[in-house]
Amino acid sequence: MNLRNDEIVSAIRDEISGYAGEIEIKVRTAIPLWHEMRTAIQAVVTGWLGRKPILIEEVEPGLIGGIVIRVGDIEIDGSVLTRLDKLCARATARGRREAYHGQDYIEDQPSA
Amino acid sequence: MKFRIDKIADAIKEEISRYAGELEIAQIGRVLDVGDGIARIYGLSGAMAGEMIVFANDTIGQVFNLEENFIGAVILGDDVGIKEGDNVRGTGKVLSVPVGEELIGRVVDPLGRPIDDGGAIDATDHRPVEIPAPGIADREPVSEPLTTGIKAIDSMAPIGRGQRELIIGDRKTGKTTIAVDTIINQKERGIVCVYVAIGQKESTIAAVVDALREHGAMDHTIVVAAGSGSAAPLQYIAPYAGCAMAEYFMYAQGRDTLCVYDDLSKQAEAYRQISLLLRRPPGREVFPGDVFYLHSRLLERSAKRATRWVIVPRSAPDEAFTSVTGKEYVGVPGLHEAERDLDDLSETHELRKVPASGGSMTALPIVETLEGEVTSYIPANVISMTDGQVYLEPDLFFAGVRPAVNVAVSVSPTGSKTQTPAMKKVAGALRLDLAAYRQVESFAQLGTELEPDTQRQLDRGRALIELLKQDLRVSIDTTDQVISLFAGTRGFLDDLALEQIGPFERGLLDEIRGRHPEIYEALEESGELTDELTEEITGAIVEFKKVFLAEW
Repeated sequence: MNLRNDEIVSAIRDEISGYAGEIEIKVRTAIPLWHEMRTAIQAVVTGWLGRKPILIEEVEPGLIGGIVIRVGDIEIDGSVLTRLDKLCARATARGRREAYHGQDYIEDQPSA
Repeated sequence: MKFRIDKIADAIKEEISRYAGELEIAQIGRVLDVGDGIARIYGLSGAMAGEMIVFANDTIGQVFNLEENFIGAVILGDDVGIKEGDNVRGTGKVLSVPVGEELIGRVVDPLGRPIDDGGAIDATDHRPVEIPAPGIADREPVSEPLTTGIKAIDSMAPIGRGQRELIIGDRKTGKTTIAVDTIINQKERGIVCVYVAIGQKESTIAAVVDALREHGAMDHTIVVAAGSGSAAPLQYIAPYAGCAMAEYFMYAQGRDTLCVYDDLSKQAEAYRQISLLLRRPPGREVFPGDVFYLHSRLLERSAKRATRWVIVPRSAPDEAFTSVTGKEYVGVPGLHEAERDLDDLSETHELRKVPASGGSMTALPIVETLEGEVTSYIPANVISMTDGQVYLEPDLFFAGVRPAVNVAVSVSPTGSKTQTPAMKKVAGALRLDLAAYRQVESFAQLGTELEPDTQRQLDRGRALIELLKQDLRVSIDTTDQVISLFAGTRGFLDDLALEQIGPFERGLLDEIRGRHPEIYEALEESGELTDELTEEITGAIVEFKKVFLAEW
């Protein structure tokens, strides 16, 4: 099992911040966070976890919008990208299911 | 091919309107290292043993080891697209496979994904790959036969619905053939069959599918294929997946099912590979310590489920299943009790079977031995778990005795209870005659002149062995088998040359069906060899033999 140096460092940091009643969370957004947003996130996370959150921010325009929060093992994905992916998957599955059961989306096909 | 744009647009608009903005909450871990079909993952602290996980490239995996600092997981697919540092998501679910009628006639991988050319499968339901076996209260003794259509087996090692019968032998002795012929023989009997191919050559699997298709067996069969080119984890779960697919029909529809696991030796090897890579301690023959449990939990899921009965008024609508006595009657003792309770009410009430109760799953596991060694580890394990074995021997095979069943050591005590009285009679006589033959067999090689009795035993034995030979893909109906074995055990074949026996049998069966259909029907219906029937059949055989010899 090869842990990289940065992983060891971040694990130690987690332990220390734990003792200080703090917790590190990683926040990814499409555009940089602004002050009110930051305060709101900290309030929600404090209420949820009971510890003072230290935000590590990352900007990822590919997310299109929304926010992805990672706390330890748990990831809460509210990004527009993921929601669009889910919508697309649902629509495709529905189309496949309906075509299988005879729904005609194509002109020349005889219904099953 | 024109698309109906308006219809597609409507469907998409509907999906968008239904689009709720829920958040995706998942447990995430990270791949520490990956290779050889396994991965070690850091994080995922809430993961549970056996949980299904998803890698970044949508490959599915299963949690195997929960170690102090990491998780050992198996990759149910190709590990090529997974990199160190990739995210892994927990699903909080146990591994499940799609199940339902839609799978019948299809060839799928152990995750239920189609690998034939039939298009996507939209499954009714999903079932977990592993579930606890039915308990004692949910079972009933095996009472109905599962006919293979193979004389040697249906007479000497008969199989019942809900039992486990092991097919064991060296390589190339005809194990798969017996299983495939049994599946083909279930045509139009309402039994759903699942053939699980583990670790076999893809060409062999293709040949089996072709054979099934050619004989119309794909109409009632699901093929689950994890060939030797598949990842070891897929070969490991394949039998459980096949079992789950059959269980759908047993539990949700109360139907009889058949599962063939071809073969469990390869599954054990795949499990050994995964266990060693994940550093589980090796035991005997380097198999992990729980290789017994690997097979026992699979085979225990085969059962004959207890049928449940209720007493309802005759006038009640078809969907009414509330018992007027307030009791639901379970299994065979329950049925007797119900019949007693029904006694006073029989004018106005009737017994009804509760839907989706009953049903069975028969298992035909296949194990390959090396040089006939049945006391080695895996064969001994599986023998102890099954309700009987069919032994196939290379010596018999190469001597032309095919199916190469060693009828002396092949047994099926459970299945014997399902034979008709007629079959029991002729099979009993067959067993005695063959045992007597084996005792005097060695004398035949001495070349000396023998006493008439001894000579007769030899002739009888030789004729019966010849009679038990059967061609590939030819299935013989049970009543025909009784007639054929009757002729053999009553000595009508003793004086025929060996090459006459096959044609004689075929001719005799045609003759009885054609010229004496009442004999066939009487035997078929009663299943008993009454004195009258015995006389009639004897008469027909004598007559036919005269004609046969004259025309030979």
